[in-house]
Amino acid sequence: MTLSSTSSSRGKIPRLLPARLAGRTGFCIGLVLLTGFIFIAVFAPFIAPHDPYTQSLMARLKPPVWAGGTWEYPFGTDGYGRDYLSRLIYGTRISLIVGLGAAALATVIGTTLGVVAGVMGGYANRAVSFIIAIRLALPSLLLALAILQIAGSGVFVVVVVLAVTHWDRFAVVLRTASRQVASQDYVIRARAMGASEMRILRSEIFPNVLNHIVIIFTFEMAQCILAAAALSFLGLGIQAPEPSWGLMMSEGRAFLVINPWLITIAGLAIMLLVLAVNLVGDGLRDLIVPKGRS
Amino acid sequence: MNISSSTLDVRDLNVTIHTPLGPLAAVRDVSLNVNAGETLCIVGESGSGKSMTSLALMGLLPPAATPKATHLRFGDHDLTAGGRHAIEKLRGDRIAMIFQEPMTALNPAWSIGEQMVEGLMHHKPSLSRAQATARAIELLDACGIADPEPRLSQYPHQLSGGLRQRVMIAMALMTEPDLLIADEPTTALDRTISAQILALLKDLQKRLNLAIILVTHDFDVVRDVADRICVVYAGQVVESGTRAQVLGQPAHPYTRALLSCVPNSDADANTRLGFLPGVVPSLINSDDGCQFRARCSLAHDGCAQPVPVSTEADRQTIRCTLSMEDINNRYRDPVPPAAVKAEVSDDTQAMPALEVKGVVQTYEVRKGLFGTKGQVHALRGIDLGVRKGEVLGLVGESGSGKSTLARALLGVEAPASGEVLINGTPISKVDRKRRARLVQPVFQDPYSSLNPRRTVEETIRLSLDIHEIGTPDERRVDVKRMMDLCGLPARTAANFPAQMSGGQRQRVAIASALILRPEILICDEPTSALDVSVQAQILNLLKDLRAEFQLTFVMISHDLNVIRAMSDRVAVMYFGRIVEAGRGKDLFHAPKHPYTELLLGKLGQGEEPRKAVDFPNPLKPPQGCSFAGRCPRAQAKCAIDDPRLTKAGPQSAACHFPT
Repeated sequence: MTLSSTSSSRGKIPRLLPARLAGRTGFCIGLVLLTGFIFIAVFAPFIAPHDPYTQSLMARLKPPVWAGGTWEYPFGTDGYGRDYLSRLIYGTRISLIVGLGAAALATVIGTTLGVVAGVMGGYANRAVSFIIAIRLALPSLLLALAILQIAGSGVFVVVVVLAVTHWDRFAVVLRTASRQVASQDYVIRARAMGASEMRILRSEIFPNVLNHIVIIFTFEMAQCILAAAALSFLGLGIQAPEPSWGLMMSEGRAFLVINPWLITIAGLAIMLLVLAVNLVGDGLRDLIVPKGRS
Repeated sequence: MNISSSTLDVRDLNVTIHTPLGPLAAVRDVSLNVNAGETLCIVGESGSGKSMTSLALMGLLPPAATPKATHLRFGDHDLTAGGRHAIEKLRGDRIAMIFQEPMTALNPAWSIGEQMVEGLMHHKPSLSRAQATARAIELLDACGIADPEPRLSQYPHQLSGGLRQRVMIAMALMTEPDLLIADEPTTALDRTISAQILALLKDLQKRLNLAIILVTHDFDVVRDVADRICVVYAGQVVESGTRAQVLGQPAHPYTRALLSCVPNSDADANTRLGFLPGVVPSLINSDDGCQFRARCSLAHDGCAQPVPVSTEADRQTIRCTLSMEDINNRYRDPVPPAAVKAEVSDDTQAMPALEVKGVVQTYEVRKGLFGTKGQVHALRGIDLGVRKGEVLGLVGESGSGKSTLARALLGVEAPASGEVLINGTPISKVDRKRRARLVQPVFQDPYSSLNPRRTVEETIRLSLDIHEIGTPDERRVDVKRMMDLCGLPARTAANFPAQMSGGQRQRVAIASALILRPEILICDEPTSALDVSVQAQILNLLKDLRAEFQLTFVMISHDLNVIRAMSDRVAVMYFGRIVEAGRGKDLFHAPKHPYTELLLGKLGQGEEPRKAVDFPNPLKPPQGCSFAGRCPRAQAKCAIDDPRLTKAGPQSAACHFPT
């Protein structure tokens, strides 16, 4: 056996990371895009040329530079005369916060349920199966609409609503994965060594299902960003005057014929961000789960 | 030997696999031929290229592999020029293959009948569906499947392993091939089933005048079926000849060393097995010299040069720089020092170190969320005692409850009733940390028994961390000492399991079990995933550690040879019960229970077990003796009255009619 010389050995990942990145164009593009979005979100106040909330009736519906506009407003202005580029930049913050927050909360809910069901089995497993079945039977968009109607909107409520409707994949995958890990001999060995159940969960099971969590996280984050945009577009998510991309599209709809960039640019931003997250997720899956690993 | 009569004749077959790290010579200069009605066994350890050879002969090599041969003839067809495509025309027609794992070789989406009928009609388009079905039934019957007709509508997952392999063989015979290539056909099967399958192959061979190439790592199989043997090592045939020549008077140093590693009927708990140090070398960018020289006790400078094959009159062919006479004069069996005789207390009155009292284990199964409940009876009343310093061998086939018992002995799974006592204290009453210092496990699969996210050092240290023993420096010293004792080089401390060989992983598992200095070690199939030479290394290590740490062992295995080589006393398990128990030498020499006799291959003539009767259903244990369904000596009483373990000669057996 010559396993020690192959590049798939886990202990050498840090050293081999650049080598493993080579030839993964999609992952690299995604990584660059996502880093860009994060940079924009973090440094929004320094990058944005204008205040995203300041209205100016004098400067309504200015066209972007490529359509005869000026560099004062590179992407033009919206129906209230607010700088479109600045709103787009601040909108990155909202999209990322909602996406990350909702996916993180969904991770917590889904992982807890899935691992409990997988490791404990028996009644816990049946109870969790039942909860998952209920969750899958509920139409998520309608549920979100209902909750938002009742609880009102705002970033926090949107995050909670999206988490509540996006945890099922975590639970389904982690139930299977943790059950499989829990039946491994090293878990029984740890138990025979006198390790507590908490310790077994923490140091034997969790590290070995982490890869699943990372992969589903990216996927669900992309889904949540899209869903948040959809809710905003319907007027039920983030409320005006917040610069949410979905809301910007909704506002731009009125000017679809005369000023199509209002809806197009925000739509492109959503597409790019979701694409970046998905590319990173796909790349991570290939990196974390090398082919042919037993 | 008349070459022209051989079914398959191959000279200088080479298979090179292109890897990112360089060319890998998986098979080099392999020449073999097999005649009609003859069985050629290709035997070798993992990484020897034996499977690559058989895949090359079938034209089933992966795309990255390139085969090349100077001469390749099958019957009247000269295929030398045609390369890999020529043989594809004959594959599945004149040449058929059966694989190790019939579950993956059969399509789970189609019933047995559909698969066979489709295949038959594809092969012979003139057949009608009814004719093909009749032929399928005929073939299943020929392969020893009782009542074959209803089997046609069954799916592969509904059949037991032995039946599946019979179906595989029936399907391989559909096209009336001249040559059958069997790659480890019985490795996944229990010993009693494996013996039936091998007998079936032999029988079919006689009737159909088949040539068989059987690829295996198992010398018991070789001994049973081979007419001629090729021993392969690192892609080269190192020795070939008739069974009597190769097994009786092995010539090549590798064959000799390997055979000394196989536990035989002379082995017992107080002697060590032969050993073969080191591991199979990497075949990537390897040179043309003898690949065995790094592990060979007779290696000299000339071994780095290409080695020709040599034959002597009436003897086997070997690939060695030395002549057979030279080897004979210079080769010394590596006789390792005899194991220190471990002290077993002879006092039968003394409290046993480990005692099992009436342990019953059941598992509830339920179909779906609201389905019906059932109870699987895994252990049906086990009584055992293990004295301090003793090795108790527990032998049984899969499904007999061995591993369930192991978990109960470890105290990680409480039995439904009965109890396990350690030094007289019920294990359920012992605090889990104290329990860990009394009893530790070593499991079968060195892949699943190590957490892939921990280094060797972290794995071995884990117990010390959990129990908060010593300062970090003391722990490090202790880990180092234990690695040394278990034969792990210090440089492997930072390795992850994926970077280590199977044998090394098992050493890590043993070191990690022993670091708490437990009194009892429960070994559940510790070597069944390992090669013979590595198995010998691990078994010898366990023998040494037994003396070093005054350990009491429970050794669980399906392999009688391993049990024989390790145990003072032996208990035979069948269907959740112990059916026979006694001292190893008594039990192996004069078994009392017919099941033990069956395992040992000691059933008399005309006493073959009944055809294709399986294990009883664990959801509904039979009222009488659970073995009655397979027992050649069963009588009316056996179906009603469940026998208890009672004294029978020097040992005890659960049988109404012990031998």
